Amino acid sequence: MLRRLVFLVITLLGASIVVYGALFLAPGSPVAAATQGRSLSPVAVKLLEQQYGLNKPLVTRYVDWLGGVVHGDFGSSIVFSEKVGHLLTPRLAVTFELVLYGAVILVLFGILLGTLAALRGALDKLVLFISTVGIATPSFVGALVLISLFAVKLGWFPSLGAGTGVGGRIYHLTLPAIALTVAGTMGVARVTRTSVILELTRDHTDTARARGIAPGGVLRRHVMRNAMVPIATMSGTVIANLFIGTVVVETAFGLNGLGALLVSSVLDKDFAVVLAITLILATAFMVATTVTDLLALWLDPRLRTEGTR
Amino acid sequence: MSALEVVPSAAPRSRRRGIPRVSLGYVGIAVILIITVVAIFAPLISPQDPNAINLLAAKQGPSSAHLLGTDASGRDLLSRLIWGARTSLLGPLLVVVGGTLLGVTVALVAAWRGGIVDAILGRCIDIGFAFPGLLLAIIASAFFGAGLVAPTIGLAIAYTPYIARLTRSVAIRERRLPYISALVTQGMSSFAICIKHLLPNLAPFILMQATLTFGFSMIDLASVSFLGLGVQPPTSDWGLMVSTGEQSLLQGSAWESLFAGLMLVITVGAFSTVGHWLEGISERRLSR
Amino acid sequence: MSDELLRIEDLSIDLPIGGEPRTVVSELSLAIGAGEAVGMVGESGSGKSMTAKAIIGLLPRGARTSGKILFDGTDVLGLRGAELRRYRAQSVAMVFQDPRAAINPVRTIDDFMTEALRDVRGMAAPAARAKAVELLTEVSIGDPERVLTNYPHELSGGMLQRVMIAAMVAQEPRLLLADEPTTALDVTTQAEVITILARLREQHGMALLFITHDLDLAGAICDRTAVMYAGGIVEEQGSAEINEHPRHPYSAALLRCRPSLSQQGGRLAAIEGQPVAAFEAPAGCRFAPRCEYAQDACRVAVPALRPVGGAMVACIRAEELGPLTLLDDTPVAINHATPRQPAEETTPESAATQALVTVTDLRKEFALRGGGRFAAVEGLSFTVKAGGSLAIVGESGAGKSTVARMLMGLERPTNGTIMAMGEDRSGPAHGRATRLRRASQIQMVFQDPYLSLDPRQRVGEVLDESLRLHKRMTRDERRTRVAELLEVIGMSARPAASVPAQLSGGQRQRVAIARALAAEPRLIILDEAVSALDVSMQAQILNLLTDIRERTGVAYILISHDLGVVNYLTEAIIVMRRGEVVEAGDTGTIVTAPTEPYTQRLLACVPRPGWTPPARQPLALSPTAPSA
Repeated sequence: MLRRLVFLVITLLGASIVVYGALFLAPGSPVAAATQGRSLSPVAVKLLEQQYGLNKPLVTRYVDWLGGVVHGDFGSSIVFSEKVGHLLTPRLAVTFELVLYGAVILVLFGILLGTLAALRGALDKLVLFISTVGIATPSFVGALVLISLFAVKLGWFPSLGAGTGVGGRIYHLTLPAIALTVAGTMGVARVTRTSVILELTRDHTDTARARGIAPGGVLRRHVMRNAMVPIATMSGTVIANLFIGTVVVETAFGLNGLGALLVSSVLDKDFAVVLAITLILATAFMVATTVTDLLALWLDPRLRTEGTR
Repeated sequence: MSALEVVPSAAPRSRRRGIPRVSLGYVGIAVILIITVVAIFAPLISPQDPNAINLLAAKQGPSSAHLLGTDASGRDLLSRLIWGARTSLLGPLLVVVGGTLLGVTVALVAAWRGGIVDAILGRCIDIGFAFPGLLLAIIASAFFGAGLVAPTIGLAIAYTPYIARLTRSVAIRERRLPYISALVTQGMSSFAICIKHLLPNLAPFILMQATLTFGFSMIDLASVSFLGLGVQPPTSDWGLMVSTGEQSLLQGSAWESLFAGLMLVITVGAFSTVGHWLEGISERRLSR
Repeated sequence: MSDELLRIEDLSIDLPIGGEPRTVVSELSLAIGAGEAVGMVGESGSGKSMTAKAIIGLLPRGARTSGKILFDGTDVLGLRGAELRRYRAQSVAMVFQDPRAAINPVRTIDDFMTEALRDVRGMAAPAARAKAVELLTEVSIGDPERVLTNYPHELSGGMLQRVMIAAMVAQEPRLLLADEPTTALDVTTQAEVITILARLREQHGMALLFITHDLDLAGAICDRTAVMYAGGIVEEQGSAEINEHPRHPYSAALLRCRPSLSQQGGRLAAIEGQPVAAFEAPAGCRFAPRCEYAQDACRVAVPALRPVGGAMVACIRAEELGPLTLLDDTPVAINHATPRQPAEETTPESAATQALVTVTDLRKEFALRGGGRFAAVEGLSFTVKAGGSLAIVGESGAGKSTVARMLMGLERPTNGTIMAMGEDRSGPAHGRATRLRRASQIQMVFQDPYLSLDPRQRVGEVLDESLRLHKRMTRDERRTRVAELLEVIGMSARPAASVPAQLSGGQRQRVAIARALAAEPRLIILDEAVSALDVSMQAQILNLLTDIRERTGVAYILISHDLGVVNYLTEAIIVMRRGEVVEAGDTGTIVTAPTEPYTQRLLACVPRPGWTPPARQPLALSPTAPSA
């Protein structure tokens, strides 16, 4: 447990060094981005560089930045002339709510569809077809289909914005959450279907049947219980990836989240913001995968014994 | 002892899952072949110049002059889709080739050498997992600038640990089989065993992974294009077309986004179908 | 049999194999009385497991049945839903061959033991737990409270099988089905499990259907034995009688072809050909193609099972042949003149050069997970002479396979030396020449014929590859040599083009032997090389190994847990236990008069005609210690 935490921190540190280094070595001056094409006198440029600490050596700047991060200070945005922290706080909520909403949809529908497909032969082919199409649908394509159908044609849902209040938020985030999770839900459905079918044919399931245990009990305590291991692993991995998927979906739905800001910041070369968002998303991703690993350990005692080595 | 008695219990299962997969697998292969041929012979097949702007014929629906209609600049959508197949396939191809070469090499070295080499490579793979594909592709765009090259390299690096980890675990399982030990006791060199025996027996698995990775990286690259960080206009690219079509779509003309999106879904669907079909084959091979 | 419990009438089972219905059990009839123990003996494909699965209603999807299985007069083949569940819960229970697969790996032993009691019997959790503890004690598990908190992977195979038996007996079934319950276990564990099974059957008054491939094992626990071949019963008799006076040629042949503790060397009376499933069998008597007594009349119709001299026999010549004898009248003469050391005195070399392999004080340590080290092999020394043979015997965890792997250079010894043909092999082989020289001197045949050949390689290529490595030959020379090798192993040239998947286990093991021979080694290590094979296949391979030794003068090191095989093939034995040598010496002496208690117990646990499992002795491992 502690080793995992240390590993997580070390990996994040490594990641930050690589990203920090790469971004500041990248072609194109951040000052140019800040001035937005206006030509400035060399003195003004110097002043700007001093203001954002661009004249110091890379390593010093990294250490300064890292020190700031530890105290919750991610530096200042060149484009918005604002503390990155202030910039991110409201957006953080949008992104995390979107992921949470998506995760609920994903787990509920994925497991439901997959189990139905495995148990009801008649539905199997249909689910297989839907899942093939679903997995192949990029989130932005799904987004546009949803927008044109439910927002433009039918007008049931708004096409843009994140809404206010709990109800408004859920209402506004429904289409984005669906678009975000189409592929993932189908992936979970697929894994569920395969694992349930596999567990149905296992010897220990036969043993349970041979002892006269009712089908419900066999399904619950043997088939689903054992299939939960791969299902949880898959769901966790997919949910971790949702954090990255928000980048696309937020852009498509014009949501003011971290992802949309990341894209505009990359285009503007607003490095402090890019760095901060990258690290937040990478952290969220890694925490999610770590939680997934722990969940699998909890579900499968065999992994526990091997995990202690 | 009961080799024969194992067959029956497996038979009904493979009949239920295997046969529709086989036929679907062939459908997938056919779709992939057709799209590939179209991409290669785009200059010959394309009815019009994909970049010829004609503002008088903008946002038209399908007609005899433009079989699939035109975009907001009046460019022929069919021609743009045909040319778009090139960029849309090229990126994933590079990702798959790069990621597979790198990943399989790492996996084979780790699996064969074991011990400390395996431990070090394993740690590297774990660290690689911290970077999800799309994020790395976006960062790469920020680093090298937008275009096809940067996100492709980013994705190839991002997919390498995935390919390496899965291939490694399968390779370790295969390496423990006595036929490999038998070859060692025959006096055959490690390199020869790896190349002549281990790799060919892993081939269905590697091919399956490459196929699935192709589909995933196609979505990732299209997403990067959609965000405006990938291939730049006026180059034809399916992801980019979905994005540029968004404006027309909100105004009620969905053709451009629709067709480009459809092409993406069909192509990725074909790859994932073939991938799952190969998965069935390699599982049967591995569960001997 | 006034009190009949189960009656199977004309049971046929078709399974969808390769998309088509194939018959695996054909018109089988059998009755089991209340409290009676019946053995069902047969080789792979005989349909014995499917019969058991049909009784408990666990046939795979798509299986089609005809005939009846009457339990207390009710046809269980027609049972569905709640009726089927009640029948399974109250009337039958089944012990599977592999407890590790048959017990849910993610739930505790407590869950497994009490699930049916709570769910089906409606017992409260504490009562179910108390019953579980009681039954675990009955199957000689020492610390039941602790075992209940364990997960399956924390227990040894023998322990798990006892847990399985306890869980099944807890349901108080009237018929217990046991499908090769001891096949995966060591002999001493097997003897314990058999003892427990016999005792529980008596205490709880259960009937038992015991499925096995070992006639002696069936004889030890069963009142009656039915021998199956290709989906049907060929003979049914009292267990003691069938072992002494079999009446069907197949039963007799099965008994004759087994290497025993009393036969050294010579040739085994192998059965020609290989076992088939019902759908592969020819018209007429299914055993006819392999039967030494077959006549034209045998190939006309499937002979009915009918009473002949107190037994039920399915052979048209049963009366004429009478009770068949086992040893004295064996049709293939045993060649007692076979020299056990063919290379003896052929060259007047000194004793030092005659020693092919000398192992001195060999030790191998492995690092344990979670720190610490453990010695898999400790203080092992032995010598094998040219043309000689040595067996390394022991149960799982004895370290015998580690010895083989060290001799082959697959593992490196921690201490000690391995001198082979004048070369120290303790270190790694540097360079291609050394590697190939070492390989060509000592070759190895592995246990599992299904996994020891590259599945992609054709038989011809397997042999050709070995020749290319070790012999400077032209393509034509290699082709001729491949044909010769196939001839030696008794396979025609046609299989050269087959891939392993098209071959039977016995054929694959022949190919593996041919591959070993291609390098013309002076020593072949046989790592459990016949353990995975059916009895009749095993005899053929053992005969082949004897022929090869006579022809080439090659020496063998046999790694085995089967003392019958060891006694047949080798002249010296090392008995190992937990990495250490327990006893070593001349095979004949050790098999007939072992001095160490462990060896004595090992020998006492080997099933043989008229055998009963020995009573537990203080030497046996404490029951809670995982033995592997």
